[in-house]
Amino acid sequence: MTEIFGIPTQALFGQLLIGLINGAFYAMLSLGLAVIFGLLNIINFTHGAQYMMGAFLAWFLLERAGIGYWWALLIAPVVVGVTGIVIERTMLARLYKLDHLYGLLLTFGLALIIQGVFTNAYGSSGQPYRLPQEFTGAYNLGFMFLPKYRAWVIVLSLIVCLSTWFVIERTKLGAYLRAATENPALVQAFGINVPRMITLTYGFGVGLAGLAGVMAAPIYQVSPQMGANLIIVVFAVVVIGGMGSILGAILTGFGLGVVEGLTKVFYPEASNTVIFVIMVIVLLVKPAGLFGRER
Amino acid sequence: MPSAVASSTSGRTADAGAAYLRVRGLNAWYGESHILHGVDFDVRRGEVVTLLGRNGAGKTTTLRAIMGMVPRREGSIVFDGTETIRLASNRIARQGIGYCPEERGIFASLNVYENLLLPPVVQEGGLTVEQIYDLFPNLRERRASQGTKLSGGEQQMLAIGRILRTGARLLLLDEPTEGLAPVIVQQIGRTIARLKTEGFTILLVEQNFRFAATVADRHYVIEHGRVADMIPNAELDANMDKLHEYLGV
Repeated sequence: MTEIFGIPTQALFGQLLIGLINGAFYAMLSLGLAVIFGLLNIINFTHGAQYMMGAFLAWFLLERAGIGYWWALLIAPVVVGVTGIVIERTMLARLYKLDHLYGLLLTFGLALIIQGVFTNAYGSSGQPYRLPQEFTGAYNLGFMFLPKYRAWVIVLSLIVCLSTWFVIERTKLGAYLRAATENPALVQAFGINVPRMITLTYGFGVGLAGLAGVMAAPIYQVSPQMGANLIIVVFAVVVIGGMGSILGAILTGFGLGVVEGLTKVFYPEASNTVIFVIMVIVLLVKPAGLFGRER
Repeated sequence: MPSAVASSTSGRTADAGAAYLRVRGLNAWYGESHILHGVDFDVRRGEVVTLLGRNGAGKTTTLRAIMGMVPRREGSIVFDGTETIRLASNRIARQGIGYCPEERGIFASLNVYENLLLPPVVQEGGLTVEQIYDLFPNLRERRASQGTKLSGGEQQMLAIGRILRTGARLLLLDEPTEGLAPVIVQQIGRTIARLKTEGFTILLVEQNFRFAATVADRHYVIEHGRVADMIPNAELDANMDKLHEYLGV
């Protein structure tokens, strides 16, 4: 068996893969958070609960209606997005003129309520989600086995992240979004319906969380707490990457997933804290984050 | 975007004497502060009209109130026959009003070309990008630069240029010459004169009445949130003493 730095390559690449998978979810979730914060000035603490809702919706569709993974991939993000639009119209829209703290409190409260409702209904233990047939098995890469579903998760999240980046940084719609992030009143005075754009942006951001939830369902247990556990790390990722940059959110998400994975190999005791240690260092050295702009 | 455009542009009358923009009893508030106390004035089609006045008199607030950008406003603003006092600012823009703010409002996250293309076309008859580049050749050279990397004068050209594309026929320009070198001020002045010959109607906020005198047909003096006086440009010399008193120069 070959070794690198005294570590068996199997273990190294195995953890690297787990790191990339986690990174894929960090990237998708922090991307949504960054887009929402940019335009709405709201730190969306409901994001983890919305990710969980996506996973539960996929589970419901399969268990109750016999609707499989591929349809869930489409339906769940749309449903989560629509509930987000309702939340934005009925609640968040009243808070934009107030301090950030109010948005944080509201979305945190909503997260607790949603998680509470699901825990009440389904208990805190996880529900397994059957892997779709197409994804059973693995690719033999020579130096390691790559389970098909994990490869799919990495590829799909890359596609989703890069498409989002492209739309925001390279299209007319994205130019409206970037401009409205800077000066919403002026963009509206040019004739753009900014309130509607804000609503749709929130719907899109939480829809991304719902999509990540569906993708996570076959890998992790579908449980009411799955989002709460993940979201704290995702907030650290957002702080490290900085709020200003879409590409920053993506790179930081994948990068920190890999760092976390490698830490599991080289110094397992620190694997749960390494991201927070990095967060502290980044905050000390570059408070706006690695890719963020000072506001 | 909803198209609220068509109705206002069709069926307009060719009566040059009627007010194109008619402002009556305009009041505006920022929170508890009552800034405008019943502003009344008219702008006729094809005119260049300035709002003169000291700092804090309410000139900028008048433009922002016309655009629907103040938290609370009352009174009447009729543009091209349409009452706009209850409309959201995006609907007002789509009636055909272009706004160039005092701080210019160039977006840092957009390059020059993206800034230029940002305001949506609200009706036919706007300038093409090429025509805007001909008007402001600097913008052509710097089209790939980040918007806020431009000089102050270039940013002002960009801020004016981008609202010429939209087909808006009434332009609200808030202190376009502020802080600019004399040669740039002259260029802005020539541009305003040229836009007037092309049929644009312009409402201009100015501190610099010497500049205003070179481009405008009439001047309204704003004082304490009201119109204190109206002076046709031809009678400006005769009213110089009064104007000095108003403006405290």
